[in-house]
Amino acid sequence: MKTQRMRLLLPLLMLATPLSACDPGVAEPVQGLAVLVTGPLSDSPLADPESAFVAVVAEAPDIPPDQIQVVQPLVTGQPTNLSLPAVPYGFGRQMRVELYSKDVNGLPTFPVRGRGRTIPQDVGQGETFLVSAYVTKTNAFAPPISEAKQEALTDGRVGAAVVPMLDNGVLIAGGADPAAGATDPFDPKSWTGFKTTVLRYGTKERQLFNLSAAPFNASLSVGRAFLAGAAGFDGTVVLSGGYVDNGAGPEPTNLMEFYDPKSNNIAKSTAGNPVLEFARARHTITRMFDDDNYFMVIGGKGADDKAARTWEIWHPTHGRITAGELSGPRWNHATVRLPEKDGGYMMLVGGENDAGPINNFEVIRYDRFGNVSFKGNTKVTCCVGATCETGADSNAKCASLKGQQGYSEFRWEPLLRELRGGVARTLPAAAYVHNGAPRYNLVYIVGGFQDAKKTQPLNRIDVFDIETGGWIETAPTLEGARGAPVMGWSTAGAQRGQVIVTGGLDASGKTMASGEVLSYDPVGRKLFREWTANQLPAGGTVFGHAVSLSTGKIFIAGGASSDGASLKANTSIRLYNPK
Amino acid sequence: MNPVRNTWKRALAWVALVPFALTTLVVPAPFGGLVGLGQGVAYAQTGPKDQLAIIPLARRDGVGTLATARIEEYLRAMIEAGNVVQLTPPSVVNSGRPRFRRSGRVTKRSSAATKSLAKADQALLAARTMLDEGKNTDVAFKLLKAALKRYERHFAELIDFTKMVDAYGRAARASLKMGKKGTAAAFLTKAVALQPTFVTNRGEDDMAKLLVIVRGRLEKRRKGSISVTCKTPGAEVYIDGVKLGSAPAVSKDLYASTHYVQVRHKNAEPWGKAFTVRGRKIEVEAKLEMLEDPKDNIALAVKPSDIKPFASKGNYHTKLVRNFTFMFSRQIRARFMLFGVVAKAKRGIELHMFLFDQKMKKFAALDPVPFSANLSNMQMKILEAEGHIRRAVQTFPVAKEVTSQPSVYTKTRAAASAPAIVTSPTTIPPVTTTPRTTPPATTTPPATTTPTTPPRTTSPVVRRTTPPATTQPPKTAQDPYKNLLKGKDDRDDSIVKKWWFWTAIGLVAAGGVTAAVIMNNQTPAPSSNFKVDVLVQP
Repeated sequence: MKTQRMRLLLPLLMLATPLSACDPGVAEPVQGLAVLVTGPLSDSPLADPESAFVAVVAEAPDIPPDQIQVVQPLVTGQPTNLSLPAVPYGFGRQMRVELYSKDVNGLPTFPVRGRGRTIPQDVGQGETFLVSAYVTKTNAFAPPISEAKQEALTDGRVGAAVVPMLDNGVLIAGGADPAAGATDPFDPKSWTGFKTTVLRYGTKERQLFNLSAAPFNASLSVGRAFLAGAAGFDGTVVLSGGYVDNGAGPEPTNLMEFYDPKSNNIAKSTAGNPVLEFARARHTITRMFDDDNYFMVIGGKGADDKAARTWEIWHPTHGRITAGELSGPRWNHATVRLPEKDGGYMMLVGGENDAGPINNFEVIRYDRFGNVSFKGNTKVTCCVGATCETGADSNAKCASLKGQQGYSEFRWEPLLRELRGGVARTLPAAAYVHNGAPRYNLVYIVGGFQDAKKTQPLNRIDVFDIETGGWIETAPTLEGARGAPVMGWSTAGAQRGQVIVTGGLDASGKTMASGEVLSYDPVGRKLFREWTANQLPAGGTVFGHAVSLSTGKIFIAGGASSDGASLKANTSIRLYNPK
Repeated sequence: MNPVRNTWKRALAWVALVPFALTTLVVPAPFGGLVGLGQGVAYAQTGPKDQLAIIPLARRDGVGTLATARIEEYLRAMIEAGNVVQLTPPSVVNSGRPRFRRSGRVTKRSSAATKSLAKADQALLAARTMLDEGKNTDVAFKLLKAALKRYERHFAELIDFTKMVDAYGRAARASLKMGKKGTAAAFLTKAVALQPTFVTNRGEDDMAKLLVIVRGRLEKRRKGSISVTCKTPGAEVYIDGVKLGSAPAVSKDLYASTHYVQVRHKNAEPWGKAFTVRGRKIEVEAKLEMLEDPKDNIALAVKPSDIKPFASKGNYHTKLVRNFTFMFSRQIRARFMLFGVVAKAKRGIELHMFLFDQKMKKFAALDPVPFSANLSNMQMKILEAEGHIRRAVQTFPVAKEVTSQPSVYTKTRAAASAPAIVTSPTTIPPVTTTPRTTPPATTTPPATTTPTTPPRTTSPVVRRTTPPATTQPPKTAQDPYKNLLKGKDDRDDSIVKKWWFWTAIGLVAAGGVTAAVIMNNQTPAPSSNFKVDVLVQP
């Protein structure tokens, strides 16, 4: 029986053989990305004779790390061609370019001498894109140099809003110049010439574009400085409050405007309550949800302490929605958003009030569907589309509206907890740093001042572990005490989670140019600190900004430098490349 | 009152208070709302959590493997972070065998013993420092006694017995300093019994004299022996910290005193027993508590390949599927099993999830979670999906029990038969060493570490053209295990005797030749990969 079956199957096999031979095969991959790799004009790792090998690695959410790569010797001073023949089509394709030195056996060896990444690019069938990777030395600051070999410089503005945009750019809005003879950076009167202009830094082009000039003409309606900005989920950038100068010196404003990415213009809300209830500066604004543009404006300095002891929820379409009370007045604080399902937590770190710096952090827990316990404020606020229920009878009204299309509900629960060691601090830098790995959900709180006069900077690094709800006890201290430092963290690749702390004021009132890098070992639950290889130009910065770029670098710009006797606006931009 | 003594008393009081204070601070966490944010609260989970096994998600209607894989990956991560259930590792689901489990009681004991021994080490160190400085002999003596108590209690975990001997010796010295000669002799007796080569330091004449006396007394008493047996192969026997070798082992000429027997095995918790030997011959059998449960080495009743097709067939309402799933869940010790399918929706795609509860022996259909086509809202939607699972795990939604084949499986399959447009990540060819973990391996310029295997040649176009319509096999039954119930005789009915078999052969032959001719004249199929050209400009 078996033999008979085999005899019958044989002709089939014979037929299948020529069929498989007829397979026309697969064509050579169509060219998808052409990558131009360049470096800075000076101190370029590409011109460094120690850089002996160049590696190109394909990165994407669906490609395992370092799986698709090519490594080739690099001849310093000569163009080098490399090719990755097969990268799967898909979205978010990035090419990481790294330079390695040679070991005694002539093999590539660590550390990585230089690194650059292209911006994420969606590549589909038959599409071709020209992208660039800017390779700079690792653990060092470098200026952004465009392909036209020009360095991107701002016009020098202090207290601008510097916000990341969805299109891999950075929006820089408002700001001010130092007043003649001004020495105190914390006095609003030290600043003058409040700006209305808006700039955009293009990560791909590595240059600045003036959005206030033709063809965009996007300008703030009033010159503002020390305004707070935050990015929406759809590319909208909201610019809130700050100081305006109506001729009688700087005073806080309740103005709310937003950058509309569709029209490339600055717009105001058309809702019935388009501005904040209380004018405020030195406050914070933070987006509340991942998929909607509700923003929470918290604390800040106003005409009286109403602004300082309140928060407000604002939406570009619905305008001001509601306001609530903090446990106490607070300004010059840092706000960190910790996202949660259907809501999250706003963690208000330090800051100050009339009594001086604050030694606690307040957490406002909020939830769209009312999933918070009712220890705190039990008032319910809800919106269906553009209609919001905020009145005294909102609880009953919201209950009847629940379940309708577009229904959003807010409740909140304030909580207070002492900062580590009970140390009061104002103007600290704080950020929620996570790298996707378990046991790597941290809030870094770095530097700040421990006195209201801002003459005693802190060297503290306090790290709050969200998973355990406690502080990391093995945190080192900064080598240099820094008041109002600039902090940023890398969000790409294996360097994701590395934190850079730079700038700030020392005890003598001078700005600091050095940088310190913090990295965390989630296994040993230890924090490590080291210096950066070089320093910021022009003696450092205070009131500077750091923004994480999609290329894994950290964009540092703005602020002023001070030698203790005078203030000077900072025009330089630096890109920090993690180690 | 001696102020130094008071300080030490206070310090000791603090040492005792700190764990209590920590406990009281941590447990009622005033910041309970934030504790455990996102990742759950580790300490809140007192008992072992139920396990949830995720069966690889199926896909329908031409949904890409990439999108499905991404959803599954993120869902896994989110459930893991959610900390409500323990996620069964994919290796367990794929092998069908449970992980080796540790006994919770044994693990707890080990951990407590290790901590206790660490504290004993600290106490010994502190006492040594104090004695070397010649201060606070009484406090040092108390510390040594505390350390010895811990060493004696947890000797089964103790590796370095010289610490215990050292502690006895120093306790003897401290006793002598305090004028307690009898106590010193007792400690010294224990030290010498454990380590017959024990000697005193130079210059400690009174200790040396006492040692001679103690040794003389021990020599006068009858010595004993301990023989140790153990049925576990590979178990190693230690007496007083000295390795004797594999069991059975005997130690003879032991001084009359307390001796410590340890039996260790790489897959077992250390076993230990203390004996007071007074001229006796002691025989003991060590019974090791293995970390690996032999019950885990069960024969596979249900193979993973039997279970995985359920996700794409969706016959959760049938008794057979429930029984198989029940058996498999017991086999891998997962109380819950999650099946899912990603299908096209009106807008974008939808994840349909079906949760099986071993205790209820029922499937429940969870609310479908819509995703945008490009997965731009994935983060939020995965959170939503995790929320559905979390709620269902906490309270099984009896009202949502699957009683008929879910509608997602009964939709038209025209689209489902279309090949995926998005390339599977598994088609990525393997490449050589990574620069992240090891430096790049290229040695000979200009050779490159390019993929060694060519990209998958199967293309959607080729797949679409090969099977002629007439070669479609007869429609299979909905139940993937229906055929398992058939007897042997059913299969013996040879298909070569069927008329349709030869018709199909003829059509395949004709269709194949036609397809071959057409394909030869076609342009090559497009690749699923693209090329990256890089120019490094100095």
